[in-house]
Amino acid sequence: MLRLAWKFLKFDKAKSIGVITAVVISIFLIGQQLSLLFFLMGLMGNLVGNAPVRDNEVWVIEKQTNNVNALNYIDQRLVQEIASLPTVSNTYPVIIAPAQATFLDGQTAGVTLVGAQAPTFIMGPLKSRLKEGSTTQLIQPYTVSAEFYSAKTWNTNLEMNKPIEINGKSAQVKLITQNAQAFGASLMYMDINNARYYSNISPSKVSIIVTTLHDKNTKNSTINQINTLFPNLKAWDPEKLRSSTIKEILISSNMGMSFGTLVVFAMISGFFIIGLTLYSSALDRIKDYGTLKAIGATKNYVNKLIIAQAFLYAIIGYIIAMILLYGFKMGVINSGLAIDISPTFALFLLLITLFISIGGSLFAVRKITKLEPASVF
Amino acid sequence: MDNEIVRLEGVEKIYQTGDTTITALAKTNLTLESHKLTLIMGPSGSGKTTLLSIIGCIIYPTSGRVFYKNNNVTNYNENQLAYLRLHEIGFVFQQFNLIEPLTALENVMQPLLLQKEERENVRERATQALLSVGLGDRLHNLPKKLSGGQKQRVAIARALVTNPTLILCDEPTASLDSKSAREIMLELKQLASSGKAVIIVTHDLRLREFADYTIYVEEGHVSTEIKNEEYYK
Ligand SMILES: Nc1ncnc2c1ncn2[C@@H]1O[C@H](COP(=O)(O)OP(=O)(O)OP(=O)(O)O)[C@@H](O)[C@H]1O
Ligand SMILES: [Mg+2]
Repeated sequence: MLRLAWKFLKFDKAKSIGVITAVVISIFLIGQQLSLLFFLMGLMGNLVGNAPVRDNEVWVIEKQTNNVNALNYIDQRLVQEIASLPTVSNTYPVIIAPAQATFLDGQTAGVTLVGAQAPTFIMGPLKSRLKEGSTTQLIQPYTVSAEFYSAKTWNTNLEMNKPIEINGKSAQVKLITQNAQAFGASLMYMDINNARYYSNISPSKVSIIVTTLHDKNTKNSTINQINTLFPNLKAWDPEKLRSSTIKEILISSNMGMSFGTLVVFAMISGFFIIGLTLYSSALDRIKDYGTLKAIGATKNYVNKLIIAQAFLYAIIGYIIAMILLYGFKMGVINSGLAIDISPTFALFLLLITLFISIGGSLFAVRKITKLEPASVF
Repeated sequence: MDNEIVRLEGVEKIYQTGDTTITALAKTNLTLESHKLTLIMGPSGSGKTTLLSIIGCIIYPTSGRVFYKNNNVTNYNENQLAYLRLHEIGFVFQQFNLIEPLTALENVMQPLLLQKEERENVRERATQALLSVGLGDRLHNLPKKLSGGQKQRVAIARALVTNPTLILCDEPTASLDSKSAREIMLELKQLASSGKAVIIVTHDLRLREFADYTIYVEEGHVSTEIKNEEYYK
């Protein structure tokens, strides 16, 4: 069947190229937009994503927000109180604070300071996101990390030991991160005391209390316990906090909507372009389909022949679109857009391709299925 | 009676397009037998192709009954008729109806592939069929690269390759020179003698010398079949 479909495809080269182009454009667009969206969603959740989160962790924040990038401060004394809960093994205060970073050779930019206790650095960044230096170097006073991919927007060259200013106070870059960007202001990791020093946050305030448990199985009960004991706080599974953050930003920025519309339109237009081209090429070949029926092919056989053509278009178009997508990934990799084409994503795109191609072919199938074998005379 | 292949009982075909009603075929009774070559003759638009299409189970009659080998096929569904056409009937269409994207060889292979024969075997048989109509050197040409006569011969090879019991030809010699036409007619005559039922629609009076019977169609009315010997009397 595929063999016969392939011959039909080859015979109508111009139309075939048209259909394949339509598949390629819509799948490439969908793939590109979605992978960009996933990349940005990764950035939105990077405060969690950069941290070496373990199974037995619970993050406690102020109750009003569901977005880890927009925290309110909570009382430092709660760090001790939570630590005294029986299921809790340890608590780590974390400060998240906005600041202005000035690059002497570049410009001033808003950054987010992430301060956690040395030497644990419970907020990371993960080893895999380090370019130069290690977190132990952040123990020294006046040392901070900086993100390699933010250098371009800062208009500066990042190098180890580079002197910079944060809120007018001098600091030194002792750690260069890579792919640890955030969705908004770039993240700068440092010791909690440095963070207080640069941001002037009072020692009585913290942003997050990262809480570790003796036993990860008590996670839900501990979360419930904290939420009831401290009505102003909310305890989160970090992974849930990450998804809640992403959801909040997607909704408030309308990004979900605009990416979604684009993807839906790419799908709809792909569907109709493919559908109509297949339909018109089926009309071109109507005599052949009628002849096949007249010499004894069943309705089903002829329908399958059309669907098989759509299937071939889908596969060819998909392969080309994936090559282009891979090229796109390679093209933007140096600017810090770490596009991830995971097998699941690739499979998802394949399903979309099959859906719009085979769905589009149903216009043609509808026409040809009504065709009588006698119509060939 | 054992030789009966197709029997039409009171078969009628009426086309209704808008306000106009065309009786393409008036009530017809007809029996077609194996071992016989039957000609269908008549003016253009008289209903020859319509008659042939009903005999070939391609269209349903408006009324009346069609028997194939004594089975009433009038109420067969589309798939049953397709199966019957595929396994029992070979068609040579008035306009050849070769499948454009397929080469001569692939066109002839197609009915065998539909019958789910082994591909290797199919290729072999199709090649033989094309060799026997003298197209051994045109196996891999697409129809658009073939002349009218060559297309007609491909169409004939495609009709015969499945070794059908009933062979229906709509003007099979129209595009052929008299020498090739003669060869094809001798071949069809030979098939009839070997036990097939061969039905040929034609305008060509010269073909009568090959016929066992001749049927006349005029404005949808089918004359009783005339035994050829009687016709010449
Ligand atoms: N599908 C159809 N719808 C409406 N009318 C039709 C249809 N098919 C055939 N007819 C009409 O039925 C009549 C008989 O047509 P048919 O094709 O059987 O003639 P024919 O004898 O084969 O003619 P020719 O020698 O030109 O091939 C004609 O008047 C034709 O217009
Ligand atoms: Mg005709």
